[in-house]
Amino acid sequence: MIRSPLLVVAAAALLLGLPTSAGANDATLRTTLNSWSKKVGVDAHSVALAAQRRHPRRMTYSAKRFYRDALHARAAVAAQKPSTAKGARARRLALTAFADYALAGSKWAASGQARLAHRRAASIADANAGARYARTGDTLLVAAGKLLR
Amino acid sequence: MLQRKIAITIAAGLLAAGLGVASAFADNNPPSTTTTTAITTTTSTDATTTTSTDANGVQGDQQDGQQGVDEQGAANDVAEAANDVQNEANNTGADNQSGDQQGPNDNSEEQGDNGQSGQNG
Repeated sequence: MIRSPLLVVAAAALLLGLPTSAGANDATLRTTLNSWSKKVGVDAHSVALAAQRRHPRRMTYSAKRFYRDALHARAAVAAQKPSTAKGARARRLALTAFADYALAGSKWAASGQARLAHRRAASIADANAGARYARTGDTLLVAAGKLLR
Repeated sequence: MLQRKIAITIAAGLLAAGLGVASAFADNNPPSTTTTTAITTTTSTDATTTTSTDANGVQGDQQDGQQGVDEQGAANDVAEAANDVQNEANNTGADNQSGDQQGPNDNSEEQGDNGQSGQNG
């Protein structure tokens, strides 16, 4: 007599909990993407500042940090388990975006090193390659963010 | 019999609450009239330290509103960096030696860089 209603209550409690946990997975991905976007944005600003001031050593150092943080960001996003199809797509886009950012950082560092070694052609080629990766990453990162809104 | 009715009533209430929570998560789009105010970003020592959403969704709503700004701001900063690195590479003049590091192991940040992103949104 009592057992059956208790089962109903337990099932209801389970149903109550499911939507919350499902939303929480996408929310965690959203928060992770948000935090790491800020971080790589700050790193990129350091690269820009050093380049504007024509400090190739500092630019190279900042570019390497941008590269490392982009890889950390990719690992953090890879550890997330989105709960919806949109979340899964956003995760894939973000993974590719941060991989492109890592490549951009690598090319920027190479450009700075080439500049220091007075290899101008190589510096220009690396800077151009880095810009291509950066622009692709930009597009993908913004698209990932829009999917999680 | 009365106990059974009470239990069923409670179960129905919980189901209704569950549906309410589900619909709240489904409709989490930011308002269409988003403001374009600049948001200053602070340097975090550990970017994985994140704020969690609370049960009533207030924190989540704030994050949703800020979400697109953060990605767009980061994209703007990266695009600016790309342009500046290209300009530096294409520059035929000599580099600015003063202020740049002097040794290969002198790894320090750009002086005057307060760790805040200059362009967000």
